[in-house]
Amino acid sequence: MSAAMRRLRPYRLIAGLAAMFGVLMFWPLVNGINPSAIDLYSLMQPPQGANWLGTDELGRDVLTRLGLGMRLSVFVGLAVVCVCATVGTAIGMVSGYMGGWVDNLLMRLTDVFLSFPGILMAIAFAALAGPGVGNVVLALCLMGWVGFARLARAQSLSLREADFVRAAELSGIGFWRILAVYILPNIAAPLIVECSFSMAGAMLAEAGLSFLGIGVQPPSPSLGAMLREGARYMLVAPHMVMAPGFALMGLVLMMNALGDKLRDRMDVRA
Amino acid sequence: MLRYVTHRLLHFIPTALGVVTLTFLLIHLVPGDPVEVILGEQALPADRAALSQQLGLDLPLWEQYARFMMHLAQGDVGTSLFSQRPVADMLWGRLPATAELAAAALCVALLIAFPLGIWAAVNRNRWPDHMAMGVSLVGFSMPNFWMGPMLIILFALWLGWLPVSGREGWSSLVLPAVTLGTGMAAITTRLLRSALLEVLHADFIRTAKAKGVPQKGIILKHALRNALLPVITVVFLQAGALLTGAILTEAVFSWPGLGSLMIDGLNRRDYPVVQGCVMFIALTYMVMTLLSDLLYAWADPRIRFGGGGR
Repeated sequence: MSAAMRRLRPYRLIAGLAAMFGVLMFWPLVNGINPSAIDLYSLMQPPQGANWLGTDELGRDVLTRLGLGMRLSVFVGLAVVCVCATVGTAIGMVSGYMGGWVDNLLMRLTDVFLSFPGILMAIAFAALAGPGVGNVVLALCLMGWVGFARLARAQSLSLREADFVRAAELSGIGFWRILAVYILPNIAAPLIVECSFSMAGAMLAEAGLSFLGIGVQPPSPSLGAMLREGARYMLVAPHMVMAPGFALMGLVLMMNALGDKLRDRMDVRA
Repeated sequence: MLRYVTHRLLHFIPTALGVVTLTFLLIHLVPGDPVEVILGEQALPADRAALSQQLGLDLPLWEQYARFMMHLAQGDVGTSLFSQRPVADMLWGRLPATAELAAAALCVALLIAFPLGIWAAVNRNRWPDHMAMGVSLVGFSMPNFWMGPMLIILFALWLGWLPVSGREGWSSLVLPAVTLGTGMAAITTRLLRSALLEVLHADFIRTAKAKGVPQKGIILKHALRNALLPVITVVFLQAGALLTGAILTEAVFSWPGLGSLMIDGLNRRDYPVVQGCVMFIALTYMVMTLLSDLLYAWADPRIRFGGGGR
């Protein structure tokens, strides 16, 4: 085995999962089954024939909808992480680097947001703002930026006194340039790890909101909405709740495992 | 210690005010007209005006906020738009069910986490360790709104051992408690393992080994006692977070607690109820966080002498 291959070995499982999910996500483009086609003659059929994972309560193909739902999960996860990582890191770095009253004010603000456990705020926001992918992303960003802000602040705080930052200040380099060129690269490792966990959390939360009926609305396929329908009919058609659950757990597990591996590799303390 | 407690309490008050204010803004600034939701689109303008006046929604936002804070100071969280009952009564009525569920989930989590975490730490980098870590990875990646239905299918439907849903007797508590406790079990297992591993390298453990203390005694008496501190504080934090997890778990099992109250409130657009639930859960979580910090400071002098928090 070459050295490059050996270095990648811990990632084999994750890469395998990613490849499988990639195929599943693009399967709906290839198989030519309309994900919204209602077939009242084959309601809630167990896996058979052309419907490899069976059909749902309106006779739609579960596998096709599963692929689309996973695509949506990944899209929401990426969108939330992009926004949260950018906004949260910026706030945290400014707070930690400037110190003083700015730091105090921003940290009181993050304390308030941190006081809402888990997806409580997202549930309230999504339910009141109304359904839709945009509102779900917004709701999850509302609670997601805080983690990044905390991390970035703690790291910037310790770097502020570092010699190379002092030297940069003395040579007249501007505020934003110091943040972007001198501080950001040195605090990136824990933030990258956080991205991975944060994406797992966002996908889980999106599914949670859709499961409660306040996230993505039908007919768009979402894993959470499929679980909701599946749970309703679980006594007669257990395949409807099993399939989206395994898919969601697989996606979340993949991101969490990736985060674990990255953390070990980059030697970041939890 | 007293200085630290005062310091933390002084931080608690503005944060609590911030939480209350944010909840108020969340409910009042998010688009959607409660009057239209309650009366429907075809309501007469006169009826709308009357209801909007009754709810105080015709006032400017700052005046609504002032009123809201005044009422809150008198312990009045509002009245349900739907049942016309005081929200505070509804919250107290639902609290026992949620507290019961959370306590049971906590027990489940600790019963799983302790043996698994110790087993993993003792057998570091061998198969029990890998297995325990794998299990815990699955545990916290598993959505509880999926685990619930799966447990129902297995234990209620196929085996018929336990009831499907509702709250009647202890047997109906088992499945919701396991569902809610799994995530916490996973986190606690990992934490206990890493805390134990850190302690097991300490000098006093080597001394105990040299003195010939048996392995079991070293783990249970010397190592576990010292590894327990971070675990206890996180358990406190997690116990607060269980309240949020309970929202989804209660929805799955039709468990009549705070979570179901909030979801019902959301579905009926009963704004005062939602507001009450969000505030109550967030403030409970804050109190648990405070307790966890104080506990840590009490047990570990380095914290309370270390420049006052943060």
